Amino acid sequence: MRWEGMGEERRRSPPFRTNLDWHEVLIQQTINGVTRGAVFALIALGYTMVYGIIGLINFAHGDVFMLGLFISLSYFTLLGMAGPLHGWQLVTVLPLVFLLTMLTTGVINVTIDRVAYRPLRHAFRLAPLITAIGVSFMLENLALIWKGPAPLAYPDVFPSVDILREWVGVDSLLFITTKDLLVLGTTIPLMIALQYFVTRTTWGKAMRATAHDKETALAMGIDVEKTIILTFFIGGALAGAAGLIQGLYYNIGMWWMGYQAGLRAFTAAVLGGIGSMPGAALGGLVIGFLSAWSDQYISARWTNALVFSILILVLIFRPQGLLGERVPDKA
Amino acid sequence: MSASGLLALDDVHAYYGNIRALKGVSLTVDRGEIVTLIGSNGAGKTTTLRTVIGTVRPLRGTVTFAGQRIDRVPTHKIVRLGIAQSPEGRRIFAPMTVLENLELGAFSRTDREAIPQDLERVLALFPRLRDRLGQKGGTLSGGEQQMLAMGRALMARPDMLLLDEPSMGLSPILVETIFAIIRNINQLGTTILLVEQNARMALRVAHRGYVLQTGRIVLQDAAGALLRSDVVRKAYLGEK
Amino acid sequence: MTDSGRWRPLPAALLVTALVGYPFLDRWLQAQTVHAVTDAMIYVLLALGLNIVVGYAGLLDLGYAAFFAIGAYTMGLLNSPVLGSPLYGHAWSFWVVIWIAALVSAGLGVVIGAPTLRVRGDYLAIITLAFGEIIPVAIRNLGDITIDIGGWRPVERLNLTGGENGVNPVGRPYLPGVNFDTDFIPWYFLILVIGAGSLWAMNRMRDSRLGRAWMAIREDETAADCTGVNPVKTKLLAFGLGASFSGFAGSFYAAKLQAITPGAFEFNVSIMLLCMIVLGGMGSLKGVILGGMLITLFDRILLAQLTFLVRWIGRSLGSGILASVDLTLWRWFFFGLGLVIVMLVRPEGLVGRRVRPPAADVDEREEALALVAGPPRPRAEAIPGWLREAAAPPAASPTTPPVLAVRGLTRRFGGLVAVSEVDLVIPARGIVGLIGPNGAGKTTFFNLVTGLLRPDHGEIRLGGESLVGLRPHAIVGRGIARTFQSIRLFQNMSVLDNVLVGEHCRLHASVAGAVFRPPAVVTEEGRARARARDLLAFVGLGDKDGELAKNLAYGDQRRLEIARALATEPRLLLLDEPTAGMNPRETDTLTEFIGLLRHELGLAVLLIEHHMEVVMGISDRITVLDYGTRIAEGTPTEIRRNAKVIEAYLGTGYEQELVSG
Repeated sequence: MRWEGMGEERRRSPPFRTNLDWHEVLIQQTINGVTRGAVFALIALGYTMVYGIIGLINFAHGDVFMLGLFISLSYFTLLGMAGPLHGWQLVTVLPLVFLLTMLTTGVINVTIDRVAYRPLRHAFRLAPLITAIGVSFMLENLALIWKGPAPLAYPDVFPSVDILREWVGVDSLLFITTKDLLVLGTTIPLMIALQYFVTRTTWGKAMRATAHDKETALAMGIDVEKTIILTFFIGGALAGAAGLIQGLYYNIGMWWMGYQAGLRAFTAAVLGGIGSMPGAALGGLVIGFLSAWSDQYISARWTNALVFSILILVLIFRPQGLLGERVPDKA
Repeated sequence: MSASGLLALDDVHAYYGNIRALKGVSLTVDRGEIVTLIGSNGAGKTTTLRTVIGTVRPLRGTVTFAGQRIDRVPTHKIVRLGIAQSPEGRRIFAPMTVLENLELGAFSRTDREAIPQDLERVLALFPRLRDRLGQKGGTLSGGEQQMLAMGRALMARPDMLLLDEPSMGLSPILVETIFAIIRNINQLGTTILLVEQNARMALRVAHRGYVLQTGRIVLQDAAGALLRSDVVRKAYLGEK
Repeated sequence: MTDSGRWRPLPAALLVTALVGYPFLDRWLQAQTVHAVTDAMIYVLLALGLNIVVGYAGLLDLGYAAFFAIGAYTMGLLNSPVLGSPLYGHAWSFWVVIWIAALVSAGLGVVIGAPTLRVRGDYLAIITLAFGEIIPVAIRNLGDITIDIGGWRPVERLNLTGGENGVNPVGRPYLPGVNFDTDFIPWYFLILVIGAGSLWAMNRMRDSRLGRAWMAIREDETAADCTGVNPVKTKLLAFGLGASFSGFAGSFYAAKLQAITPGAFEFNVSIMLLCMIVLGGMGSLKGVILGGMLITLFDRILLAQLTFLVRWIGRSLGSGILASVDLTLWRWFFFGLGLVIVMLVRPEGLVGRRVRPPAADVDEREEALALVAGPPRPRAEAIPGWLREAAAPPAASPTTPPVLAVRGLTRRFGGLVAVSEVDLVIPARGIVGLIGPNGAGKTTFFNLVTGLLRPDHGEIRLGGESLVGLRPHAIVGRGIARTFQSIRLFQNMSVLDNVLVGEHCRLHASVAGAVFRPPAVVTEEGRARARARDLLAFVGLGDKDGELAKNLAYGDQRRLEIARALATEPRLLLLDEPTAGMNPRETDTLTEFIGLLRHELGLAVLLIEHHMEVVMGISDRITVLDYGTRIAEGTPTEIRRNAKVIEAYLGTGYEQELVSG
């Protein structure tokens, strides 16, 4: 059942207070929106980068995110981690699983490109998009066959501590846990690193050049195919990280969640301005807020309709999105 | 092919899209020369340059650069061999800064430490770019963009420079400036293959020229002789 | 382009016999496949509807299942005897509701299509997908709405759609003496009739003015617009008509299944339908039927059989994994795999036309021929009579108003003024040359006159009527036709169809006309074809009318583009570098040809050209643009002597050169 939501709509509130005031609810949902949005943003970055460089809506990208969750679970199992991590494990096992997951999903994404998209670079316009839908179905149903249709219990490996009460000692209205810190503490550095890579390094510049004009990039001596591989790798790795974070945060995974999250993240990318990386981050946050608020104030079952309405409206009325650049090509 | 020949095309046939753009083009460029290709729109000038840089693959025939066959070599490797291009319509990276554009020109270089020195050389050649280094490429004027495109190509420190329509859309004074710079670049030791709509300007700066017509070379001679030839005067210089 | 082919009585009779005999044979054999085949036919019908949108009009629709849902729910809600709300319980007759469902679906198709008109390609696909997601969500949630209306009845709970439970039961069709209750055979014949009718209508639509317009839009929307095809209307008709067939399929589905739930109309269904048309070959009716049948067969029968096979192999090999495999769980995986493989291996589908690789030898031979004989010389006698009649009156007096009068035309792009305060007048029967260096604004000028761009200010008058603000196809209708600098033909359409698209704006057949073909439409279509053949003969392509446009040699493509422009019966012809890429002989012929059009048809011509010989030789007057402004205007002799022109266009140092050379 695709429409049930991915577990995020299970609102969290401090265990000992359930009767929150309206402003407390709003603030709490806004915090929820930030963590959700951070995950969307990581996925959206992969959409935006791939679209920027080969003009393809990589429909399978959301499923790479889902695989990130599934695969990271396997790595934890492989390392024998079924319960909360302690002390040294947090600084060894956790980064290791991040690294392994990101590597795996990066390689998967590159493989998808090499096998399914690359032969179609010069095919008719809609061919790669149709192929991408095909790949998405394959990945999604592989996961279904692999783990079965029931929701997957993701072990609660990351310790959840109520920061304000237990660390600060304040009996606050708000419920912020170490898991929220984990989300921000992983997504923000990843985004900063990506921004640095793209604006400061030679290959990052090559990537932007290729996105702008492939033929001229070739004439600069840039190996365009290598740049594309790099883009798919980074996009896949970020989606993998997002999957891992999703698992750690919500402790649940579904085979169809890639489709769902993919569409929301794609909406985020379009809203921010497809091709723009800061746009993807911003779009992710906005969609995070909106979906959290919608779950609270409208109803979780209408949230998808809301998000897709935003997608339609943006595509029609402001296809360049919020931050899409319109640099004149001519002087 | 002469002994000092740097670039040679031999019986090159090529398609551009669905159109058979080249039907057996042979030409040579010797080291140190400026050679120009003239002809009307659709004659195959740009396609010829594309087969040299490798973005169009010849159906038949060979392209040789510095004694090495390059007609099956990927473009990024051709650039490393020492060919750089300033493409038609400039095609600078509009959302990137002038400095970034220039840096990208040097992408294929392995002698990283010599790059700052070359940047100085290029900025000396195009002083107007110096004030604009931090500006986005897309905000430059047409003439500045042309300078940037040429400067970017020179950052690769190429043995051979391919120039495609450098005068396009430029005012007469700027055209004069650009052509003076082209001559200057050549005198500093870079071989140039120049494709130009403005046949008169091209022939005055070049040593030799080829006239292309519907994918074939119909005339070749020293530039001065071409300037005086009847065919060229009538068809390309607009004289009667 | 038709894949219906000629009518052959024997195979047709065999086909009918097989289709009619099949269910009885099935009953006799007790094979019990009629039920599955009937279901398969529902999906084939859906795929055929989707094919109109995707295959003909080239609009990738990823949310087509939404229309299926709308069809089914229309039937469910109007026909169901239950559901307590006043909206339902009418139990309207199936035979009435099925038409209502088609209308509702078509209406929704237009409603969903309308906002997508502004976007193209991928974005359009995503918008349709989003609609396809929203509609099932809405159907689910509208089953339980709480409205606080205040007053003495504070809360009203509304059930509009049956929510997650859907609508159950749905009424069956009623026909005296026919058992729709327990027998599958009547259902089979019902969908057979609906399907055959739909196929008949689609076949006729494709081979009509409308079908050609769809394909022209698919091939090149801008060129279609500039050939007189209204893209908005054409696309909306594709969305609307495409959706209407899913209305039929949906209502049949609801009535046959007796119950509908929202889960039956999700993204998966849209993708399965897409699989069908991609596998068969987009745009081919035969292909879609084949693809639809193959996929349903695979899904309903083959997967189960394969499961048995694999398990048997597993048991005999002693492999526990293989022995317990259930391939039906893999069905969506296989659909995905199928899409990928077809796209990689045979993107044109099973029965699609293979793209012919460029044949260098043929090209060369043709060219060698052309060098000996030259392209056919244009002859005045070959001008089709109808074109003469459509053309301007032969005798133009000096007082005849100009055909085109442009004043103060200006267009900016960002900070750049591409065209600035340009005046230009084309007298009746005049040939005017427009020259200037590359980037001077000549093509922008063309785009302004033909309506592709809107001027910032200035006026454009055709015979006194202002054209500013008109869409390109409307301007074609007023009498301006054009060709493009880089040839823009409808590549995957036949040469004849290309010219017929040119006639589009002079034909009148409506959708109903296209399907039912009253005598007026038959006559019109016959005349249109005859005219197109005349035109092709005139430009020297008489023997190539069945070729795909993209397989023509370069010179032929140029001539076809001009023929297409002439088919719109223009008063003024705009030619953008018609001799680019032509050899001298072809150039001569074309020059002669343009002269002939003026002399014989009284056509006015505006010509962008770089070959100085051509422009100077043929033009009455020449306008020179540089930096978007008009720097000179005059007769060829005047232009040749104009100092400004010499400096800007012909090159500086011209005088020196004259002295020294």
